[in-house]
Amino acid sequence: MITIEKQQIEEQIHQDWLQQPQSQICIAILDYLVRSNSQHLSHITYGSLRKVVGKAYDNQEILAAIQYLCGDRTHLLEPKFELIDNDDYFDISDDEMSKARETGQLLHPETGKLIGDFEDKVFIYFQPSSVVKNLA
Amino acid sequence: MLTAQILEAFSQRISWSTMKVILKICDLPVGRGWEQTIKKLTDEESIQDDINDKIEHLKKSYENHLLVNDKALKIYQVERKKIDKLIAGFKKYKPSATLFQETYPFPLSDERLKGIDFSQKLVEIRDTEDSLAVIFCTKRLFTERSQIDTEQLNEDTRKNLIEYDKIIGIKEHYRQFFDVVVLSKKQNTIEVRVDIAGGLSLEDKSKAFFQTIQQFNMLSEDIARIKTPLQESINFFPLIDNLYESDEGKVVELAFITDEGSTKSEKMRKGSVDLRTETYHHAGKQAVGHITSYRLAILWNIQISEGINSQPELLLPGRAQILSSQIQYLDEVCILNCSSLDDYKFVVEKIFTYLE
Amino acid sequence: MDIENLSLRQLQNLEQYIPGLNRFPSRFLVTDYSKFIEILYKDIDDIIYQIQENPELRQNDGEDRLTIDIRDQLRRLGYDASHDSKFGGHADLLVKKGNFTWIGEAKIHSSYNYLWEGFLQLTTRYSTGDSNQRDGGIFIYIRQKNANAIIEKWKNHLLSKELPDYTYEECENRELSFFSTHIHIGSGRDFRIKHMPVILYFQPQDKSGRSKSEKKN
Repeated sequence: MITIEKQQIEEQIHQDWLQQPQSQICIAILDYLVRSNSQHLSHITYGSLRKVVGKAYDNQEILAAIQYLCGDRTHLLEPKFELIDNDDYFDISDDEMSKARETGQLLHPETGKLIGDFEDKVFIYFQPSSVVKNLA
Repeated sequence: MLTAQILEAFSQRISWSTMKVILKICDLPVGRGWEQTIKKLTDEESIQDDINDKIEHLKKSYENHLLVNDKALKIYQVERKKIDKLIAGFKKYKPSATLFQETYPFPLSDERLKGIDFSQKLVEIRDTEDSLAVIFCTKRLFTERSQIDTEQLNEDTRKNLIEYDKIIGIKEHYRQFFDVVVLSKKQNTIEVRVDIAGGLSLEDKSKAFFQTIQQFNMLSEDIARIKTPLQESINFFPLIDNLYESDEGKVVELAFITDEGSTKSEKMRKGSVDLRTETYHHAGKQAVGHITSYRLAILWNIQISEGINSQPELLLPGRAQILSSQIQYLDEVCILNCSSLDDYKFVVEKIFTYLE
Repeated sequence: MDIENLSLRQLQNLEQYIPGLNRFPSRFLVTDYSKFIEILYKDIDDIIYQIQENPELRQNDGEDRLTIDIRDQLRRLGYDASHDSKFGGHADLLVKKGNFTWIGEAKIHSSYNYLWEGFLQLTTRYSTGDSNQRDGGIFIYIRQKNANAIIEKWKNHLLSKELPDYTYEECENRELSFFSTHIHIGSGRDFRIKHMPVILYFQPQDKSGRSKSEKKN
């Protein structure tokens, strides 16, 4: 297993984003993931990341940064899907999500019913990636 | 076809995630949701021969499920002599014919259910190695609340309702409930298990207990000449702290008060860490020294076999008032998401272990 | 707009502001090679359209510079993209996702023989052509007028080479691009290459230059 240093990741972020605001946004998220108990962080919402990053940035900037951190290049966040139904949260597997996007119907994990028009009810949240968990 | 009947009966009573576990235990294929699974199995039923054993297994699972999932439970400690006498009496007893028997063990259709009254009927007496189960069926009114999407209403109606943040619709319909009284052959206990599958309001649950206990007491007198065997049930309250302090399972919900006067309710999302070790909860508890809990939900992850896990849950549904009485008394618990009799037994054993 | 939780619908709605955002869920749900390629090409098309919006800035860029820009845009989308000039000093782009690989070759159009050289370099670099390396691409940077005619001539040039089992098909997302498929000598399997023109024609007097007229749908 290759152990990566936090500094290497920071350098890579700067290399990719230069002076763009996403540089700071990504560093702020990296800092947050490193200083928290990443073994326990299992449900980070977009709203939570926005808080971590601060008010200086708008949604577009933050989302572009998050999209980047979920990719293979600088993989710090593991995206996950959940269904929010009333006030209940249900995890949706990647496999089921693929099927749902293909067929236009989502299988509700608790009720076992197929739901159409689910784009408003399925949300993305995040977990720290294995890269973060294995940081030197 | 039999599979469709079994699955449709299950679909009214358990979650899809529990159903998947049961299907896997029976070595049956799982489709994408209820409808597709029913279709898949019905198709296979008509083609394959060796599937019949598995469907029998599925039927047995359903019959067992009626005894254990999801139940609110009161436990009574009764003298061995009395229980044996009850067992002997009930064993010989033949339940009279009722309309429920038309489709038993499957529930009656909504149509048929309309024509029945609300009285509780004895439908089966099941003799097993460990116990004698006395099974009742009752029609109860079931209220379903859901939020109405105002976009669906016409403009005038929407205008009239504009000040409201949410519009809730209430549907009342009848459902058939399966309540069970279990006379243990091994322990000196009688369990009253009230059916809460699909959810039951506090008030309805109370009524259901009252009805079942009264019925059973009356029958006991008639059948075995034992008067009111069910009197005072076990106090489960000590379980809350005992289980919380232990290493058992995973705590997913806890409600407690602090001596500074605040009431806290904490819930863990499915798949998250144990509440006991959650950073925020842990830090809070350290800061105050002790907390006084009144409600706890704990679940266990049981590996049945390779790739098949069940997650039965024990809920101790206390309310804050309990803490203010001289004696803290919690007379019922709920056992949820059992995929088999074994799951239920597992949880009850934990109850007795931690009550000591 | 206050977003606490991020729904799929919101991602779709925000796509106009952030390139490729609607493909964000699809990108990490990829399980097979063809899906990986499908999404990669959509992302690449977006990047090409962006580059084509400012041809005036590109007049002095060499192949390396242009390829590095594409690499950087892909990286910002999260792709593991790299630019390798190890092999004989020509520009190429490598995109990896687990076992999946895609290689691109960049050529500034001067002659069809030059493009053919690029094509060969690409083909020979795929030494295994196994099932996780079935696709490649050529970026054809065109500074001349009439990119359409150039591409047509290039198609004919390829046809005349009579490669083993050669076929070509149109790209349904972009009129000017096309796919060529032939048997890869090393592996004996199909190798599909996407030919992607990048229109950099710019004449200051000609304000309604062709490069601005191609908009994505």
